[in-house]
Amino acid sequence: MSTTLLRDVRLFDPGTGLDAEGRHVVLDGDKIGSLDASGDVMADRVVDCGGRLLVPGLVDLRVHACEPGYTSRESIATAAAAAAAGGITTFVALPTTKPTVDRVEVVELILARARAAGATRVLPAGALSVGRDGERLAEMAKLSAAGCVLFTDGDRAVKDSQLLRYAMETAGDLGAPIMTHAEDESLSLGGVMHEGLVSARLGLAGAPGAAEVVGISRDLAIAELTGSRLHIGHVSTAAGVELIRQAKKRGIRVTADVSPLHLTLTDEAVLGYDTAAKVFPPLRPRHDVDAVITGLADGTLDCVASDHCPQIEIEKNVELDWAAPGATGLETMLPVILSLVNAGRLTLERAITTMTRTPANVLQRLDLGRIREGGPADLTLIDREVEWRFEQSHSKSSNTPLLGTRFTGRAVLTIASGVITHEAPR
Amino acid sequence: MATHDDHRGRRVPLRWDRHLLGIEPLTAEEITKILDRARVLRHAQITGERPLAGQSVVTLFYEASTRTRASFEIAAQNLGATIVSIASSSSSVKKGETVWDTGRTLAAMEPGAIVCRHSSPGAPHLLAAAAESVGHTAIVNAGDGAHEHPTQALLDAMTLLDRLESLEGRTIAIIGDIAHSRVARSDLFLLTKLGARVLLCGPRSLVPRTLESLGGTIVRDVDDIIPVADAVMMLRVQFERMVGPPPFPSLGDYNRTYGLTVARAERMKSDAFVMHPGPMNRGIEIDPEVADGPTSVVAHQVRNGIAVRMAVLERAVGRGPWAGAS
Repeated sequence: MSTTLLRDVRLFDPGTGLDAEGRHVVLDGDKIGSLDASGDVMADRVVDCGGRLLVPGLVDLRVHACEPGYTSRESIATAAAAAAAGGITTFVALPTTKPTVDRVEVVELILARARAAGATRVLPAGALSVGRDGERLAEMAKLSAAGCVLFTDGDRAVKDSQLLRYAMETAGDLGAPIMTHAEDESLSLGGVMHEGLVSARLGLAGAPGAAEVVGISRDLAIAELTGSRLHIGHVSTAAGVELIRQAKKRGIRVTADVSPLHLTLTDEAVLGYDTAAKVFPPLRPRHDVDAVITGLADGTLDCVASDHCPQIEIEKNVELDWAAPGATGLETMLPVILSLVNAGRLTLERAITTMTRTPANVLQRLDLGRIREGGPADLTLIDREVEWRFEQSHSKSSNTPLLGTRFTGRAVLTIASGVITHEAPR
Repeated sequence: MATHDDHRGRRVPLRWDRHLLGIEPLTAEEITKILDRARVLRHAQITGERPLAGQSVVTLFYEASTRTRASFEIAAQNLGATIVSIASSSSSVKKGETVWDTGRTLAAMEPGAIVCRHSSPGAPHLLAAAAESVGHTAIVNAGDGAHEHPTQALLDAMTLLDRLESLEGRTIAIIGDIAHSRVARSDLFLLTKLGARVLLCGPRSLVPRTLESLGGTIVRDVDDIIPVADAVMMLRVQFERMVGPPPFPSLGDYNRTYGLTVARAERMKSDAFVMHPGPMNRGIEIDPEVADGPTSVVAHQVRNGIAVRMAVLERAVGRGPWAGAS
């Protein structure tokens, strides 16, 4: 069993109250051996960390890994490489694949590809309905046994409320959460961006924020009815955040995430008809952006999730009406959240928690997203000072309005199960 | 600022100001310069001057059009240009070549200008980016979805100024389906830049409050507008841009509440006049008697269209008052 010494780190895991400078950490194989070793212990490999921040490996609940079916956009291997470059050691692969994850063979294929790709943990999400068509339930017990950690129809809202009720009851019996894309699709029909001042100016058909609010409201009512666990993906509206805040106060078992883009960019990013800024749900006005930041800071929104959604160039270099929605995000999630910390909008404690402990808790993986001796050696070393420009992606795609952005801070070393999956050139 | 994705996916601002992608980026001075030139060209149409001789103008229409295409082609002909007319009935994405590739291909042939109509807002921006990546051809927007129709606004302004001398302090009413109208957007930008007050009216579902951010004032009762407007511009309902259920109960209901009926037209100011960008739906937004009546300047609008488009083509190619400009 090989050992690694991480010399001179600031050990930082707010969930367990850990914040200690000048520590030396020893990894024994795929486990954490010691969090308080001496700096001169013998190890197979020694990494001098220069006092940088060592946090739990990041956990990302929303990644469109595109395999099987859409491997011109991304593969499990390239998604894993991009995740590692972004400091992510675990991600949930959404069932937006072809075929979708509604049978055991597809789960097995994803897990096999993930093993072949390396040490990054890839946790498959199962489809909620067969073919993600919203008509009948997928075989959740079989899928769960094969390794699916939650159930979702991905970026499609479940139209039939009765089906969503049954899905939540079935998943509840299996102890797995249902993740929804909350939207009333009749209200947003035809919309290609947020309906507001910018859409009025550009002459583009808009989707009102109310479409998300109606969706969240319905999903929360069914969560209350069933008592099962609901996770709402990519919340983007102020009114949506408020509904979740009230629901939590009433004891409804709901968690929610927000994407880095919805925490930083407004609908003005679409000006000039920039198709890179066409995402789903659409970028919202400042008022909504401020509300999701507040929601993330006060715990109403539990996690940040990258919502990594690769699209190849010819799907984006077309009329905005026809451009495929989505943006890549694995490599920019941590830098964007660090920029919110630098701007004083989020504490470092809260920022790290929302990308480690809380998403692991949603998955009920109480071994992940925290640092403890004997636990998995999933760790991310962050340089908070380094200034860099995001230009080269490890993903197959680079469709993000953040391409070319200057950031301060990034992951410089990523370790999954004791294996170095990413090391920034120093 | 307009931007596009180049082959590495990075956004690059458009470099040239000879494109005419919309009225919004133009200054009042530039608008006045185009209108002044159009007035000169209106009278010079018969003098035999051929400032665009040896140039070609491509009309690339992804969306059906009769009057705009004919108007641009006559304007190009009057200037001595040769015309290459391309029609594409379907979206480039669904069938065949993308706008990007078409733009690069056409621009590589170095025509003087490409006049583009498209059902999707922003398509001329994409075309302009493609053209800039290979050559020096300017793009003229002949209508992009519900975004802008700059030459229509210019001809509307020319028509208004033929009668009103100045737009400063004048009140212009635009009534109908504002949300889906590129004409309304371009007119709103242009008329407010020239100092007019623009009143917007129509069903709430077709005249959302957000439009006030573009400079207009929404008045919900059409009968409050009619007696105060110096000109009344009627727009048709653009069902082709809608998805989902109809946004109002029926056309009869619409006509009753918003149509410019004979009775309403009689309540207009004595010297006020009626405009319509066409195509007209008689009996819905406008009664036939009003459309063909003495207060209608619709034919005058169409005539001015040719002069305005001649000026715009000169500007695109860098001739007339724009000679020597980059």
